[in-house]
Amino acid sequence: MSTQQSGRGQTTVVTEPILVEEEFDTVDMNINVGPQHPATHGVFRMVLTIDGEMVKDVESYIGYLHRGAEKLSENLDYRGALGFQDRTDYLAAMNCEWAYVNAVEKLAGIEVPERVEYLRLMLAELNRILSHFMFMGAFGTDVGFFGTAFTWAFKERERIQDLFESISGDRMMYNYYRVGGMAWEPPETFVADTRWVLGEVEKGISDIEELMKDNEVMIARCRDVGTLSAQDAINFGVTGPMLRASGVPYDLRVDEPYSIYDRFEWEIPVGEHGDAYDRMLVRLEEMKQSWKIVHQALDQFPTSGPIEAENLPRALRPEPGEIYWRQENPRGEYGIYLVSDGTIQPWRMKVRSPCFHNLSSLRHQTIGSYLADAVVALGSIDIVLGEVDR
Amino acid sequence: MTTQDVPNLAIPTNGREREEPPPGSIADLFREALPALDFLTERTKLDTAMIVRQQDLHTVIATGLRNPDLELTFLRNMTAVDWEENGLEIVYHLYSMRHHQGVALKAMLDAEAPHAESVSDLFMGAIWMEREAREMFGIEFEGLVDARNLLLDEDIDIHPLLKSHPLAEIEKPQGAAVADFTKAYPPPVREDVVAAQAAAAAAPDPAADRKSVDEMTPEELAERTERHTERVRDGRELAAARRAQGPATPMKDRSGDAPPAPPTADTLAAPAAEPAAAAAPARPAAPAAAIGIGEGSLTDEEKAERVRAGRELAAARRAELAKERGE
Repeated sequence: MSTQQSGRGQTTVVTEPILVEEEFDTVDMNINVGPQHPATHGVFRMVLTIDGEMVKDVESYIGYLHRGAEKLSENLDYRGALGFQDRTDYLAAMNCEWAYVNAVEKLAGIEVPERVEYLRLMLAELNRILSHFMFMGAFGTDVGFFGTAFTWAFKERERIQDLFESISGDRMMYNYYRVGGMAWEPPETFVADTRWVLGEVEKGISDIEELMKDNEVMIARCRDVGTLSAQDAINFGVTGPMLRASGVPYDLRVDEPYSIYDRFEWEIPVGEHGDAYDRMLVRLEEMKQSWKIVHQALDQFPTSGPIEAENLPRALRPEPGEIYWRQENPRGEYGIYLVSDGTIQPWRMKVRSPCFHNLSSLRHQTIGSYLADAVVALGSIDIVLGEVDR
Repeated sequence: MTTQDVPNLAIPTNGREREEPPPGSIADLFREALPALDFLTERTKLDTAMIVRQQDLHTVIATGLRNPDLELTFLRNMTAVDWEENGLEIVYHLYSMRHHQGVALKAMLDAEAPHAESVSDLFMGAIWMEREAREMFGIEFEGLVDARNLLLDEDIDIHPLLKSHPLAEIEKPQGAAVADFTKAYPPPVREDVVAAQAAAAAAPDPAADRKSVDEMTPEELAERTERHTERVRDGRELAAARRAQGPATPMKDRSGDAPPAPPTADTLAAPAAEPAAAAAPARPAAPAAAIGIGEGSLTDEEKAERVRAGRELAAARRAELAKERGE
């Protein structure tokens, strides 16, 4: 028996543990997490086999959100299938739309005006900031400071969403990109609004950085959690900030350059250890880089000009052929595999969703870690189940 | 749809001419690495495509992974294309992060029983990709350790991305599975629910002669407005009456009470079971038959007996341990 002073000046009696740990025969237990569970970020289910607190095996169950977007797209025309792209990665809808219209345009040989490229790029990069804000909020909750991170990040996210709403008319499912251009002109106040949002977001990013970067809780919970070596990450097909956190400077905006990214000065942030903390840091730095890109793009943005390619065909019939178009989404390589048979419908449409591949590495990351760390590892993947299940 | 036939190799081309890639493409590196390999090349919009035989797929992918000039370490995408009567085509997109080069590797699969060798021994990420291709297209992968459905329901056996699978009938097998389940585990029949459903079916549909606002005459509109106004007024009166009654269970005014005494070491150390049991209101005993086995069916004496036995066991264990420690 020993006594110790508790905070209120009262004496609490602490009984020494009577049974030593070796006395217990431990049994493997199965713990079911999800599909409705706040730590799974959507409808994702994992069955953990644990021995005490140690994770021995993880079984992932996905598909709760499978809507057959590929099959449905194959039964619509090229333009009609665009709506599904908002609903795959619904936190980065602009990026997904962009990837899809780019794939169709490259397949059909359509060139878009420069102004459209600028607009598309700015919206996609703003959406990257939005998506990473969302990650910061949700990840802060996973790690253990509920509230602050969530509300701070969502405040900034909402600003960008308001801007998107003023342009597209919708809060999340924008459907603003079109094959060959954009749906309509952005409002006249677009440049001024975006500048204001950028100013606010800059403050938001530095707030979040102060909150997350040197936070003791964050470091204690995330260092060396969910570690993936560079080799394993590539072998799993992991892409995006997760791969860069493992030390591989692979970013499609630079490695297979598309659009007009070569006109701006920015860097690829790369991590060292491949753990949850580095993933958070990489995303944090990426927000700043995207901020820089949008800022430069705004300066160069042509204020007038066509918003649509000329001589667009009424019915889109690309020549028979195929394309695997890929782009850097906030979560990694987002690919659209399109096979055309010369009709108005794609013969095959496949979405390569980064989260699907990133999530497949969860088992590898978590076996041998503590149960509480499995939640942090899952949170650091930043999954969007709409995109995993398609 | 036409097929360009080359000895032992065939690929549906949809009537297009197969365009050769420019010299110096990644196909030349494969030619050096695997001189005996027989394959076709095609230039697609972005990547160089190689068409190989189905049985060569694993060799080619393993060579691409291990050859230092190729180092195709990143399997970025894997899928299949259903060419209906011309068979199933499997497509791998591989990329080398060191050499910044990629290739699309294709093969036509056996039309009768589409199968391919699994590459999950080379790529850990291939397990999920192959599981998806298996359920969506019915391709069997030899050597795939986990052949369960991934995105579809666990016991559903359909291949929705095949062109032969109609879009609308996807509900049918799912409905059949539900019917099987219901047959095996029939839900209990509740007489009152059945009676209520029958009564509801027999009663005239109140919505049948309901008119929309646009169809109403001015008199009907006025009557409707009156009815609504009355209903609102009734609700307000009811709410006012409830408010006048005051809260349902008025809270006891505890402002004059003395603060509870802080716990001392003695009160904390002492077993709190007896005073707590005395203070807690007696729970109404549930009928044993309704609960069956479990805590609820134990009498108070039995419970006390169990607690006493547990304490004795713990004390014995404690003494045993103390003895082992040499105390």
